[in-house]
Amino acid sequence: MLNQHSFETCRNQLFKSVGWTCCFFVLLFFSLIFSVFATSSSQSVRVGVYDNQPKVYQDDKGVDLGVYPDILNYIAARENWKLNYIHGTWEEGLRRLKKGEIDLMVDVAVSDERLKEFDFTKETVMGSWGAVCADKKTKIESLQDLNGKKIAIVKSSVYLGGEDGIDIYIKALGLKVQFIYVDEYDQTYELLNKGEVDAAVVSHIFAIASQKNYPRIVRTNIFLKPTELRFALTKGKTDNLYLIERLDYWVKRLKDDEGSVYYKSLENHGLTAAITVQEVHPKWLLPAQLAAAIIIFLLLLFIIWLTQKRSILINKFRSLFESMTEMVVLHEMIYDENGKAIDYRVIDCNPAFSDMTGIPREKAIGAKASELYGTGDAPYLSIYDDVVKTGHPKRFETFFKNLNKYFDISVFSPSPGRFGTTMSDITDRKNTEKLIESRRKELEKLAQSEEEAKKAMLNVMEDFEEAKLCLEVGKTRDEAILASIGDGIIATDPDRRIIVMNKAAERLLGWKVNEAIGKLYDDVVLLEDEKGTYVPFKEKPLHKAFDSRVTTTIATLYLLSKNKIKFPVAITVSPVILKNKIIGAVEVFRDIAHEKEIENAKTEFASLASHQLRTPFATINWYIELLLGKDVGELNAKQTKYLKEMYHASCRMVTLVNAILSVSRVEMGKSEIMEKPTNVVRLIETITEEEKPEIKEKNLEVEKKIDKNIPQVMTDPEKLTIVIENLINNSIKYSPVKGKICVNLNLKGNTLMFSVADSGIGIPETAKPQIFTRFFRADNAKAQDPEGAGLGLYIVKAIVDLMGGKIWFESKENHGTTFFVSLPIKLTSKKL
Amino acid sequence: MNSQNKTILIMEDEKPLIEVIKAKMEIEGLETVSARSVAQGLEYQKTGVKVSAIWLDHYLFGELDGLDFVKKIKEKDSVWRDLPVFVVSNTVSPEKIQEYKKLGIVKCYTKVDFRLDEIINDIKNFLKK
Repeated sequence: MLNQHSFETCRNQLFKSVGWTCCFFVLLFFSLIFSVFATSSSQSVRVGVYDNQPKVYQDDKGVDLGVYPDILNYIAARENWKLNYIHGTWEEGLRRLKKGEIDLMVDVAVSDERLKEFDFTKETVMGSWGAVCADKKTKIESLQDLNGKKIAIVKSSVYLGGEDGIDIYIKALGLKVQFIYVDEYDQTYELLNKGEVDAAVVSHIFAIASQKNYPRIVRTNIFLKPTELRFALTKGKTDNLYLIERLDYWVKRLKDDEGSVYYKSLENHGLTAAITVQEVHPKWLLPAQLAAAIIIFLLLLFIIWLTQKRSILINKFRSLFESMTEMVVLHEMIYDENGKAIDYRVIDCNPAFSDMTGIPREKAIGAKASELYGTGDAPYLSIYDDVVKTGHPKRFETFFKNLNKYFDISVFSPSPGRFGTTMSDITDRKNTEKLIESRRKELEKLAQSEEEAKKAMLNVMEDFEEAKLCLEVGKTRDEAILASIGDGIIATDPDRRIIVMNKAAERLLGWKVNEAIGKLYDDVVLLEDEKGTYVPFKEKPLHKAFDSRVTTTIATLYLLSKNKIKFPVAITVSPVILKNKIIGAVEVFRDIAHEKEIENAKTEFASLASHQLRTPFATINWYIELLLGKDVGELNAKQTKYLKEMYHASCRMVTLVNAILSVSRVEMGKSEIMEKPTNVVRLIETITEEEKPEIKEKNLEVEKKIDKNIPQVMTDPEKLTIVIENLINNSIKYSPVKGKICVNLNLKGNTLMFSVADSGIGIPETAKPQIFTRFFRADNAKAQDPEGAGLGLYIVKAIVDLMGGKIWFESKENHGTTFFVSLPIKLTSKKL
Repeated sequence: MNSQNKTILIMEDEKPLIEVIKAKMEIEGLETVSARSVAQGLEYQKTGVKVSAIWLDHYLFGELDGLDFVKKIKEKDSVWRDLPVFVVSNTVSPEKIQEYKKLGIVKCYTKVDFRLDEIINDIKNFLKK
């Protein structure tokens, strides 16, 4: 059982060593940080010591000696610590440590119970296990041999209770043992030496160290609870992390160096052997120890490697810490008496902190946040407190007004009561984000503008579409109009090529629209005159319209369709002029065959009507003439008078019928212009000659101003006669006796100018606008000649219009009237 | 008057007019024969009546009018080829008048525009030449 126990003890020791090594790395970073600032300041360390030679004791002069003081003195010299040894018993030392009256206590074996009460360094200063010692004569070789024995033991000895404590074995084996409790190991040996107890439980180191003074007392083979002796610290003190790190660092370093003060002190105090189990362990354990030694050796090599790595890492971390552009600050939370966080203090910070805040590192370390940042309250206290309490890191962004900068703050808690912050200046990023946001908004606006522009564009497009639609509607409407028009319509371009042709034209010409489009007009439209002669190119109304630039109308030609069907056609051609340039022409034509028939019928009617009306009057007149001529016998006075009245009335009727027939002929278009070479001068002479009886009757003076050089002209002499005759007749009729009539005729270019002036009754102002109206007669004219029909001037104007001339007048009532006629004429080569 | 032995052929469809024309001509010393159609008029060529002049209305009974009559008597072998023809009508159109003139008639009259004695005097005067 004992052998097994020893084996397990060694195994646990190995496992723990490996575990500690791993823990080492975990703590490495934080210890590094602490070590950095811890070395920079002098610190007073209160060390609890008791008398436990040779590990710790006082000489006669009160100087603290022993392995622990040697180690501590060495470390304190390096760390600039001021050690203050507080003396007392073991128990007193533990009490003080609990109360925090001392910072650390030396030579404290680690146990689960003590881990709950104290903080410990990680590095074992020495290994130790309990040894049951007894007088040489007392045969105690196993636990069973302790049955019924008195055993002296220090009250709070680690070897008494807990796992692997002697008490648990006694109870487990059902042994009856009486423990005699004392305060120190010396007392156990004194009682044993006096024979008041049968055995004593002490550390094996004490046993080794006491061999000289108590030669009869030897260590039995019973081992108890192998423990590690380390430095114990008051639980939860703020400086513990730093002290632990530094102590572990140095103890490790000293243990690694065989020539260090550690080994020298052990040697000086006769404890070289005490740190091994070689002497105290059973011999059979040697191979295992050798194996363990090899493993430990390998572990040492590993540790050395790790140490080197650690050193590199430390340097790396240190340089990283120093060179980080982010502010790294380690804080310690400050609580009030109720455990509420009220502030926090800077423990350490990197140069970036000073650079960014302008606060020197020396001033920052140890300063409270509420004072350091000048904010009155410690900023973000609740956040930091939450991180410290929960251990969960947090991250947030904030704006420091006094720095005018944004920071991204990460908070973590490396140990209880502490938290570290890394603060990254994200001002640029924030500004960039703002800029991006600004740009985004601008882009949104731009997008909105673009949207508006797009809308505007869409509106324009809509307008365009609308305009296009209107055009299409217009085009469709035009096409519909063109299609629905009964007249044929052809439009040509300036080269006389057909560009538009409607259905009516298609029907009349016998050409399909798609056949005709693009063809020359002259290839499609064939015209003939009444005699069947082809109308030459230049005589076609279309070409005339192009040449004259005016609308040309003609109704005397015949159109020959593609199918050789001939029909009379009325053609109107209008040139299309844009910016004074002919860009084409539009020809409208229609089949007037039916109209011709109607016209013939009308003509026939007019002839018949005139015949039917005139013939009775001719009969009446001629019979009256016969009677009045006394050819058939004498008439009395009354009969003669009455017959004359009848004859006069009949003549008026004849005049009226003639006038109506003339009007009818003019209005029906029957009065076509029949031009022929005419001697206008002679024509006037003839008319005035015919009017001589009336002129003579009124004793009128007739003045003729006739240009004798007027040649024969091409005009309609019948129509012209009607015009001149009417005007001269009027001038005679409305002139007073002995009045004057002036007839003028001259030629101005191709215009014949004719005028008749009289000194007659004149035309009243009110009658002037209606003077050419059918059946209109001015009041003064009615008074002068009640028998007038009011058709003379109407017919004159109609004929002048038909001849393409103009008629106008100047008149003043009671002063006379002058009528002017201008007629376009064609000159002939024949001179008068 | 030399005209007393002259016979005038009156071609007129209106009987009252034939009557008044005849009456006036005979008063004026002319002899007359009359016809109301072209065919009747042409028949006088066969009867041996010596016609000195022709009073011709345009409209006559039958399908043929005065123009057709003139065309026939102006044919080469017509005995009346050189007879003076006086067209007296109320309805002759200018176009027709032109045609009549081309065929060689003496003059065209509109009945209502001339006194009867004016026309007869013209005929008599022409016959005196």
